[in-house]
Amino acid sequence: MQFRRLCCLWLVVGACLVAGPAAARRATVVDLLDRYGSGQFDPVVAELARVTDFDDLLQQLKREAPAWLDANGPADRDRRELVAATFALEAARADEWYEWVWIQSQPGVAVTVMYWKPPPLLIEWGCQLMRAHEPPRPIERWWQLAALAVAQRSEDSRFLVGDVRIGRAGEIINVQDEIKHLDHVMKRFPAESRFVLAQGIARDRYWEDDARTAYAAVANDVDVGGEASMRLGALHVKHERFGEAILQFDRAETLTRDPYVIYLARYFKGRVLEENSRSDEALDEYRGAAAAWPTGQAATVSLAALLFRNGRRAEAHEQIGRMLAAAPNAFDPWREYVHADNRFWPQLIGRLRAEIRR
Amino acid sequence: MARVIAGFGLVASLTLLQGQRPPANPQQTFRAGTDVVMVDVSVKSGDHVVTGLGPEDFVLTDNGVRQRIESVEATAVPMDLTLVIDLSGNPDRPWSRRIDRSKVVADVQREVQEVTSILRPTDRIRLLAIDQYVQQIWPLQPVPATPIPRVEFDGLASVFDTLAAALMHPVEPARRHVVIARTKGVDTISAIDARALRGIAERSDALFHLVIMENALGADAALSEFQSNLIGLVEATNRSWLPHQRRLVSSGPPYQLLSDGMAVRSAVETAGGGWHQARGFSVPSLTGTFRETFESFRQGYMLRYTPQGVTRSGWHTIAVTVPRSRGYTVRARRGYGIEDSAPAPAPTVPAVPKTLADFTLAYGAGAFQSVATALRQIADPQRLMRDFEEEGNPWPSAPRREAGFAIELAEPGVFSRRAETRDQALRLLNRFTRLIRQPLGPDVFERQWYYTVLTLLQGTINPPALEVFADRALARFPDEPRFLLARAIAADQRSTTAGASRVAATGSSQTALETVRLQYEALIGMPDVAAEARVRLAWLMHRMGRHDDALARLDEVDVEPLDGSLRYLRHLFSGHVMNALGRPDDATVAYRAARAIAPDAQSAQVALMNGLLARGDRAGAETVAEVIQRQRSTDFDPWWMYWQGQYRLYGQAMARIREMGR
Repeated sequence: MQFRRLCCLWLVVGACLVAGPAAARRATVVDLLDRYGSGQFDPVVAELARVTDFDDLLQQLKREAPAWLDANGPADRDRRELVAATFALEAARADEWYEWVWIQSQPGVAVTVMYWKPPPLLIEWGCQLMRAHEPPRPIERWWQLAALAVAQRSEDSRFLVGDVRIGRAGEIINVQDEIKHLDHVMKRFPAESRFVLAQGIARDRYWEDDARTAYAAVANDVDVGGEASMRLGALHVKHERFGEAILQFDRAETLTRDPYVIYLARYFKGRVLEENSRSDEALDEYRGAAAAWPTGQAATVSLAALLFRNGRRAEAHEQIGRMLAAAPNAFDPWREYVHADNRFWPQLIGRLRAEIRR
Repeated sequence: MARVIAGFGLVASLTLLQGQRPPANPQQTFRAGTDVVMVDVSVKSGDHVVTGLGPEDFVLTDNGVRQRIESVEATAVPMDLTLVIDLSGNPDRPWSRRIDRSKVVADVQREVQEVTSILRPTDRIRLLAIDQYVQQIWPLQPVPATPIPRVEFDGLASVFDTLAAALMHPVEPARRHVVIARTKGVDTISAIDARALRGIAERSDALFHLVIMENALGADAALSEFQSNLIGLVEATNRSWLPHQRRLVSSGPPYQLLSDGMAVRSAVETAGGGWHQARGFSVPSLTGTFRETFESFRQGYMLRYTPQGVTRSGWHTIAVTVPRSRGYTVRARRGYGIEDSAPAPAPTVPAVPKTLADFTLAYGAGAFQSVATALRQIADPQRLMRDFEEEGNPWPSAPRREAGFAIELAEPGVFSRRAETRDQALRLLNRFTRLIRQPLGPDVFERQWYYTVLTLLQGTINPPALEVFADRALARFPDEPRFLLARAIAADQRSTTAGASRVAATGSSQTALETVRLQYEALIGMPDVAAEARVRLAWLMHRMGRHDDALARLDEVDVEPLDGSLRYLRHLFSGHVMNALGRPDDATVAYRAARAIAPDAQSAQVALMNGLLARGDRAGAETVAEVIQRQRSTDFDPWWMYWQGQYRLYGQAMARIREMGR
């Protein structure tokens, strides 16, 4: 055990030696907050992309932000809170694809311990600032939606709904460290159907029954019913309940015109039909999906592959050529399936930034 | 045993030659001189390339029919090389360090430069990369290739999708397409599977070589093992989504072929290419594999023939042998496919749309006016609306356009004399009140859509329907002045259609008028609608017998920002109120002012004529009467549309919706 800890220590020390001097040259958190608050959003985000020590950034934020929040007097306090909380989101987003959580087994004892890394702690720090207001301010809804987008992009459900292995092997013992972000968001916005949908998405990969319950709860909701039906259909596909899946995909089409949802419903339906040797119908669905979201690679490749194998090479060439010519890394809803509301990030951060500028 | 590298090439991509052919005919046979097939062949005796063979040495069959080989040439045709590199991350790693982007780019650049240094000036290269997305780093371009601009890496692996995209590339006549791919062979997110990839590779025109990155697989496995056992990490520390894991080879030595790998390997070899894995201490590299392929290519043969005695379209199986020596290994393409169906011509936009398909085609092409005009003349709008509902969204990527089209379709319906047609039009609009909602909340399009629908419904003078939609719009945009005005107008319409327009109406009618008055009063503080609210309030008060109040309201109207209709109505109503107050001279002045704004409008003329006659100016009245009689019935009079509220603005509102739906 000691040897293992020693190794960990060396890794940490090594990382500090490499990253430390560079980090020291960076701007301070107060400087970054000032710039972010004055509308220099993109330069600050670029600065965050160069940060390597987010533990330090989080500590600075906790230490120095309280004074900064009050520095301009009570009249500016609310705005500064939004600046700081939104800055924390930007920082979490900059780091989340490098570190999020460590789930470590302890040698010799059959226990698993969870250690949050800076991104979820940054979100939680910002969330606490938001939660200090009762009742929630209107802008908090936008902030919480943006926080959800960041959390979903991390691909980790634990932060949102708690230990995903509860009751199973690998269950963590330090449950007191759980955040369960969605629980306190739901308390503040009980009528917000996107947060109910998020409960389902967070459980989709681990607790399918719970996910189904969450999806069913909002299946008729005017705003998220279409997406809930589509995701419910995808769960049915996973268990080869193809008939039920198709019913849900067709239902999704009647409930929404969100191209993201339409694309996925048609793409999944195409896969089901292809799997069941109904190639012509699958082609129609793939075509429909590609029509709904022209840069979607999954539907385009599926369509072109089926066309090509059926001897319709010219059409396949055209599809692939168009796909490859599209902007690099054009968004594909399938490839971002678990990232869910991250697709709204530009709108959400735009809304928060606009509020900060006011 | 040395690796056998097969040459191939259906260099003449027959699909591309379609333009030179007569119309499609399923039983059509090849025509000499127009459809030439070229097949690259490599012949080896053991490890040695066999050179010096001529046409008479080869036997080639196309779908079992022996063909006459017209020529055998050295394979000097230019090459289109597609390099595919795998930059995906380790799917089993618990923890991934920060990777220096510039180093990744530099490594790729260096490797690509090694390959391009072998290519000839006539050759071209394109670069694809495997990661979460299929990435085309550059399209096909002459060598030397441009620097790598940007690349994504360390994500999930779309191995099958990227290889399929590489293989489905169309081949130009007289060029050959070679795909050299280097991958760890671990697919985690592709839409297609190995079976589909095999089907594509078997029908592709490309010579396909696949290099398995065993070293990288070994490094990935070792890192995962280290992090799991030594650090004790039991799960991914970030990026934990793994849709599936399909491996071509096992994760550790000796990297045995798995079922997906067997399928892909079979396809690679069927297509005349090669599967490259380490043998002993020899580890294949991208550059080495290409060099070997290229050399083999240069020393191969290109057989040229014009297919005879076989049906043109469909799949053609090719077999090439060198009968005089049974010891030779002959590798060539196994076949090619010809697609004979001519591409469907683009549908032309009909001048006068009649069916739903016509209308959607025209609307999608931006022929809005012809659609609107034709819709107003359509005999059965109900059927068109039903078809629209049944056939689904014609523009799934442009929901705004569909929502705009729904209003266009509903327009003739809401004015229909048939109650069921009106009901269907309202149901259509009602359905779209759900479908236009954006996931995050009300947006600018939804606001404009509601505004357009409300202007339309005001025109129908159907206050119950207008109220339903106004309330729904206000539930989404509670403070929107135009929607509040629409609700006030609905109440006003309801009061007049209920018979409360007469002065000295009954008590309940007075109550209704009072309700309308309060609604208009509330709008006076809202600049966007204040002027119209004042004009309408004034007319209401006049109807209620409160002429002084009416005049005061009209005097408050700020003239400049008003549209022509409101300016006209303001003067017309002033005239009527003056008359009611016993000020005929002032009334005449007001009517003349109204006439100056809309000279063709009849209401001011008639009021003026009556006023002159009442004052005894018979000659003046007759002059005005003659003017009235010369007017056309089509001349616009704002008064005629007064009870239709803001319907006068429907055209403008619809134009904005069309613009937003483009």
